[in-house]
Amino acid sequence: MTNELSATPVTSDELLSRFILSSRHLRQDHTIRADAFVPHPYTDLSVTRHLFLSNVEIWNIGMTIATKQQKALFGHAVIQVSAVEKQRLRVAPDPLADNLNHANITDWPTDKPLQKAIAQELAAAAGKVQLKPKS
Amino acid sequence: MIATLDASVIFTCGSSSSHGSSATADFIAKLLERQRKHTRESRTAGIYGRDALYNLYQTFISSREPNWDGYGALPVSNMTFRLAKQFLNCLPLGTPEPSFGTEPDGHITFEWHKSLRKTLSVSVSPDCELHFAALIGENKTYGTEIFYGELPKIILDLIFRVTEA
Repeated sequence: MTNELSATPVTSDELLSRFILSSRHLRQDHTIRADAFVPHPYTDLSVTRHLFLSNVEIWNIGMTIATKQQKALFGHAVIQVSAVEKQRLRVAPDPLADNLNHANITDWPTDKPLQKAIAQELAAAAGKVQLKPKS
Repeated sequence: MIATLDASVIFTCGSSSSHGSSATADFIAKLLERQRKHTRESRTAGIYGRDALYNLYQTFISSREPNWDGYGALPVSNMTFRLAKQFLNCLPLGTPEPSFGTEPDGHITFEWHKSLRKTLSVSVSPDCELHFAALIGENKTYGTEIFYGELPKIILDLIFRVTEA
């Protein structure tokens, strides 16, 4: 997709993915732990918009990120923008050279326990993680 | 000598000190601590015996390098691990075993998870703070308690609420 498309305004029915690069963020039942959605000490949480991407392209972005970070890719948690907005957070497009669909979940409160409570809501909304298909 | 044991004694953190000051009080405190340690380490009753300490250690090992999550996470410090061990030690006998995780700020998390909307997470920070959040149905509870070596009552209550049948 082009830079122009990636700047498309975010809508509530869009889907977002948070790539899982640590097995510690996965529960045995393949749901995601809230830990994966806590931004602290940072102010934003990095996600990828599904906008105009095929399933294969989403996995390719995840693999690119994992390779760049020298980590294994375990899967990605999918949440709808509406679930983010329900927590009074905002999704801000932040296209990167290697991921034009990159965005940040922003406007987090600074209070750590409140961040944890919000992260639990996001984890509940995400439910089961899309596990990386065995190659 | 007759010593009575009530629930508050049994459920008190193992590393807490006696409030008494005499040699007898010290002796009883040491005796109780030794008994608690033995029970904790027994395979049938203690969390340590159920491999929790090993699992906690594995969590520490896998998160003690910077960027362990691929998003620039801070490493878990030795101090955080030490406090997490102490927190584990404080859990009353019979407490369901938590699972362990880490957050990007290097805090170790203890999670009691029954379902997506019945879950409790406690973060142990290197500053002796316990940040907790529980999601129980539509209710949310969260806050911070200072960790003085004893399990805060509010967290104990939440463990029971989340793990009850």
